[in-house]
Amino acid sequence: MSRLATAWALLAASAALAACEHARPFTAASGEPDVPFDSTLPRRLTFNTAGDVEPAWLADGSGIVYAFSSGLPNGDQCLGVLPPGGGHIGQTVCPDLTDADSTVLLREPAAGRGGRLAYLRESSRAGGAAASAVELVVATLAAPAPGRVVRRFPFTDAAGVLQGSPSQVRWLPDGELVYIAEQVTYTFPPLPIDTLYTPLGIERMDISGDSAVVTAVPGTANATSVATDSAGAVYYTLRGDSVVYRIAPGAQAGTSWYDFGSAGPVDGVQVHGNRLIALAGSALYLVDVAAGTRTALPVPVGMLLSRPALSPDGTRLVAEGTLPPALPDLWLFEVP
Amino acid sequence: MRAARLARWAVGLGGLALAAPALRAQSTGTIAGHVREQPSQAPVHGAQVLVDGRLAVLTDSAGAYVVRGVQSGLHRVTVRLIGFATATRDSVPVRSAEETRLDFPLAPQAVQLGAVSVEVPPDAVLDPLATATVQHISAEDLRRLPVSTLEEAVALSAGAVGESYRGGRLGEQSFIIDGLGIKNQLDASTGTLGINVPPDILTEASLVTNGFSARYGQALSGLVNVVTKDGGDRWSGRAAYETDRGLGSSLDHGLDRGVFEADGPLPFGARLVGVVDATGRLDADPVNAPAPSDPVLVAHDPRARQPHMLPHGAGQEVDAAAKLTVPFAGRQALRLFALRSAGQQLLYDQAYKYDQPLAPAQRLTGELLTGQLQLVSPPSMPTPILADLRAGYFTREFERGTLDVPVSYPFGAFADRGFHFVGESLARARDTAAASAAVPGFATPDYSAATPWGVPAFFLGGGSDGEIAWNRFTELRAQLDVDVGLSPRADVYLGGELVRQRVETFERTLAFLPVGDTVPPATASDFSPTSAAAYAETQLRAQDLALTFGLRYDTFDPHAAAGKIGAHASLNPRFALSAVLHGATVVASFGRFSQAPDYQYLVDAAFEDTTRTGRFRVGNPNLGFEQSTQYEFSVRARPTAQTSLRANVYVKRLQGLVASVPFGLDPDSTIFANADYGSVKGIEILFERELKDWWGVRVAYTLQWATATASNAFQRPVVDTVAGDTIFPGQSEFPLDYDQRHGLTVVAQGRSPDAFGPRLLGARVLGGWEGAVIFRFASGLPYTKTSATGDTLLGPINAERLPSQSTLDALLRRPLSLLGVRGSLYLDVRNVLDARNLVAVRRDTGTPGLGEAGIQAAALAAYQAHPEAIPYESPRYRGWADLNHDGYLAGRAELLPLYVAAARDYYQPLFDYGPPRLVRLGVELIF
Repeated sequence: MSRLATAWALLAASAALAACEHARPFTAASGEPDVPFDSTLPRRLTFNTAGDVEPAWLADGSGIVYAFSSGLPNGDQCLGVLPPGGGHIGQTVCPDLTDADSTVLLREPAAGRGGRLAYLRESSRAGGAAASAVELVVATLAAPAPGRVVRRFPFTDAAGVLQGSPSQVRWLPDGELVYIAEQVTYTFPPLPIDTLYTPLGIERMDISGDSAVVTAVPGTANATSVATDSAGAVYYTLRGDSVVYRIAPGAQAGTSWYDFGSAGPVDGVQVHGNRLIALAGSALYLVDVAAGTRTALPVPVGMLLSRPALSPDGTRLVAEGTLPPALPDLWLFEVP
Repeated sequence: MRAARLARWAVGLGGLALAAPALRAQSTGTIAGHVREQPSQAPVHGAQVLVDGRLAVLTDSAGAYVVRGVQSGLHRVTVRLIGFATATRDSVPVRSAEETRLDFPLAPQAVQLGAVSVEVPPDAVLDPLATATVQHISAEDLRRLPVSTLEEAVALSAGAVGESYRGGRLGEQSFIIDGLGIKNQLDASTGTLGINVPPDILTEASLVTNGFSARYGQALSGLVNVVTKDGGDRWSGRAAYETDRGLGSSLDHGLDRGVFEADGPLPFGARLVGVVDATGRLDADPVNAPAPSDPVLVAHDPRARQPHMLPHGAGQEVDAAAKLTVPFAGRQALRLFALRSAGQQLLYDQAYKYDQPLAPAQRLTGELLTGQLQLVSPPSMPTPILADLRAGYFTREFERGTLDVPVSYPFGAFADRGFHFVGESLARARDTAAASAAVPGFATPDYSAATPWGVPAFFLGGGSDGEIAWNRFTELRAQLDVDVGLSPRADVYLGGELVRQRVETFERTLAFLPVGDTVPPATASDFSPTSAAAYAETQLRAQDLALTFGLRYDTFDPHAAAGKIGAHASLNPRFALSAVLHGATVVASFGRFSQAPDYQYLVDAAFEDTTRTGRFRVGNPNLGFEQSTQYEFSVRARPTAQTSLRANVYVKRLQGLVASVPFGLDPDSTIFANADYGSVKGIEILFERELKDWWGVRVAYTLQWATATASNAFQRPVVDTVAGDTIFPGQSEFPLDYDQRHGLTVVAQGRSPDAFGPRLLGARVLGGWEGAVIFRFASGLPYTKTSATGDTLLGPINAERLPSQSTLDALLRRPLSLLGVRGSLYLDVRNVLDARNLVAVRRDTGTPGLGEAGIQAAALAAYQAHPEAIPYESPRYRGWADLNHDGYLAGRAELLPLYVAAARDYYQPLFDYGPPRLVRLGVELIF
């Protein structure tokens, strides 16, 4: 028995001596360091020649989700998630890029609490001007596709209005969605082939049930932008109007919250607490509503801004910036 | 005069019958001889012959005895009779299917004898009874030689090219484990057996390549015969551990192997032996490919810095076996044997080099349970009868696909859990309806963005190849073998077997897509074939002349899909004539062999054979037996007492092998049929100097020609792309893929005497060393040259040859004794000279790589497919390639070099090279 014990001891000692770490096979290359292209602000975040649009912040401010062209001939469009300061796309959501017979656009991403993600999936035959299907999809960032289709467009709402497509989809804290319903029309030769979106009004959508319940927000006809805050208030602007309106939680109609007056019609409203960001005329303004102060933020010369999105902490802004004749890229601004 | 001559023939034949020697089951041998009184040489009648202490037989009036059914291995033989001194011989070697001659001189008890001298002339070289061409390897050989597995040991045999024997296709061999036939009847031609017999439970293994007994079927080219050992008289065992850890980065391939064996007695005379053999390798398929020299690759390809180990190649194999032997009523015994092998391996795929979790993996498990009841007639019975009733349960399960979640490796290459695959439950349920949709868990693959090159080309990511392959083969076999000793030198063997099998398969390709025009439907099958066989065999001998004749009848019924024509049958005669002429034994043999086709060819198959589309192959439930006929002439001689020389000349004709033939009007659609034929002819020369006086050597040389109409069942007819005609290559034979013309294997062993060398600190440091080297040379295997697109053959099929290969393996062992424990340290080195053997080339270039022109062309094509700029925010952006630092990779100047680097990386000819130098250090303890 002692010999057996000795044998075991020797073998164990051998194994212990040999228990050094093996050489490991290599792992995948990490690629490039994930840092912004440059350190200045305002900062160009995207360089895609095909256009980068409709930015929105993740609810915790850890990234920016936006839509970009895949670059494929059929014009498929994907969603990407950028680091909050810029860098490389960390997550991509694309349609089946191998399907060359159709064009699928993923658009209008909106990130909500708990990693929720809403976006539009718009399909047509490859090169077709008119979409054959527009779906409002709710999913999560962890499992962004295929998601749950909560509403197919176009549809005729309770008021008998044909809603062609939603835009500027936003989350409310209670899990409802708000968006601007649009009428969609197409132009054909001899006019240039194009898709024209005409805002109808703001809609609230309750998606808690099996089927979504859509309710029109009164007084929002011709809305041009919509925003929400953490308390559940809804802010919006109207075509040709210099006023930013606010609908308090529980209220049925909006009231004037800030008037840009002679600065011109307002658009692209974003709100953080009492701070308001909006585009008025050709300028980007920061307004402290409580203090009544308004500051024009510096914008690169010649740049046209649209679709600004204020970070959840209110310190940074990302927007579509276009330097004609280039297509829009995303730009990051500091909010003082 | 004529009548007298006929009468003499009749007497002669009668004598032949009387002289017929024992031809034993493949797991056992025979001990035979004479007992004579000393010094008169008078035959001793009625002496008791005991094997391992158990009475086996009594000598006849001529003093002769034959003990049949002795398990292969070393035995103690005792002869005793009142009035005589008992004679005992220890460690009498018995080999399967061979007779050990053992004569005993008995001295009267009144005379005091010293050591009893015993003659042991077990000369298998000259024995005319040994008609089969058998190449043995013993358990001791397995320990002494630089081999780790049974397959490696068998591959040392003449005529073996990997697991192709005498030019045959893969899968034309059968395994015999303790007399019971085992075969992976589902896909032996493309898969392995599924069970690995740990070397530590072996007594011996052998390769039989001709004239194998009519007792065995299921094979065309050879039998791998394995005999396991019984537990010993006292508890003993062996523990060993070997590794390549700590040998430096170029030699560390992540190897760990542990072996534990113990055997000994149990109550009531039972004996037990158990073995666990576990091997893990981080790189289970090492290659000796050169590291890239291109400066761009050197700067950015991780493999350039560490070329010796491929990622995603970890594999583990755990084999556990146990055998219980329960003797009863003298020499009769019940043997129960259980073996389980579980292996799993990540499969390196160059396309997924940078997205390794998506690369394929596979798992293979096999289980074998056998029982053997051996009944022996009493020693006094004038017509001894030995009956073996065997039953076996064998199951083999295979799965390949994409891992559902990556596993972790807490120790070396041993995973923390068994592999599980995406879509596994679907596959096991064989749910083809559910599998018609895209299978959940799979994603469509896209070009990887994780490569050092970034560009969308060659390497894949985002989703796996979408394959789910699962199959299970189960077999229940009953086998009865009866040996009747007509006389001390005449036996008749009768028997048969009944086999019930079950085949379950499932296969789905491109599972990330729904079934459609370019995606074949999932295939599944579940059927239960049956097969049966009966045989009779005898062997007659007169003086130095022996005649063996056997007849075997095989039948199988697939019970497969509709359309079968019923059971198939095959009658297979075997015949051998041998004689000793002028000190040499000559053997002429003829045998007809048949095997049921792989059952995988009876059912439909879906597979992906290009990146464009999946394909579908129609199974054929009417497939019949594959057959071969072999003629052989061999000469065996002993130039000296310690040396032997054998020469075998053989011709083998193969018929009815499974091949793909056109199905319907679509030239791209095929069905399996028994349509292939071929022939093999060759010469084997074996020279051996037995291990004696501290050294021994064995040289085996094979010269061989192997031709056929197809090398495997998947080779299709050639379609003339211009005329659209289907060309049937079956009209002409061409060299088989395994047509290795010249093969040379030299095995040398040596041992220094214990007292050898100077004494240092009281010990002979050079004494007791054991060493063995294996040198192998093989001429190049054939291949077919094609055009760059691969769809046009350039020249005849298999007209080109790879370069020859050679390797030198060595094992050096130093016995040790420490604190009363015996053991040894050993160094096992494979491919000592680190030879870079070329095992494959590209068919279009005839070189291991694509060539510079090919790489440039592939890169340009990939660039032209994706010339789009890569912006900074893209994961594909590579700053070092942005020459003008504008945040874009755009234009030919910036993008094309990335595509060239990607092509150079992707087309590295890794698996065109054989394994590199592999070193392992081992420690062995015997208790």
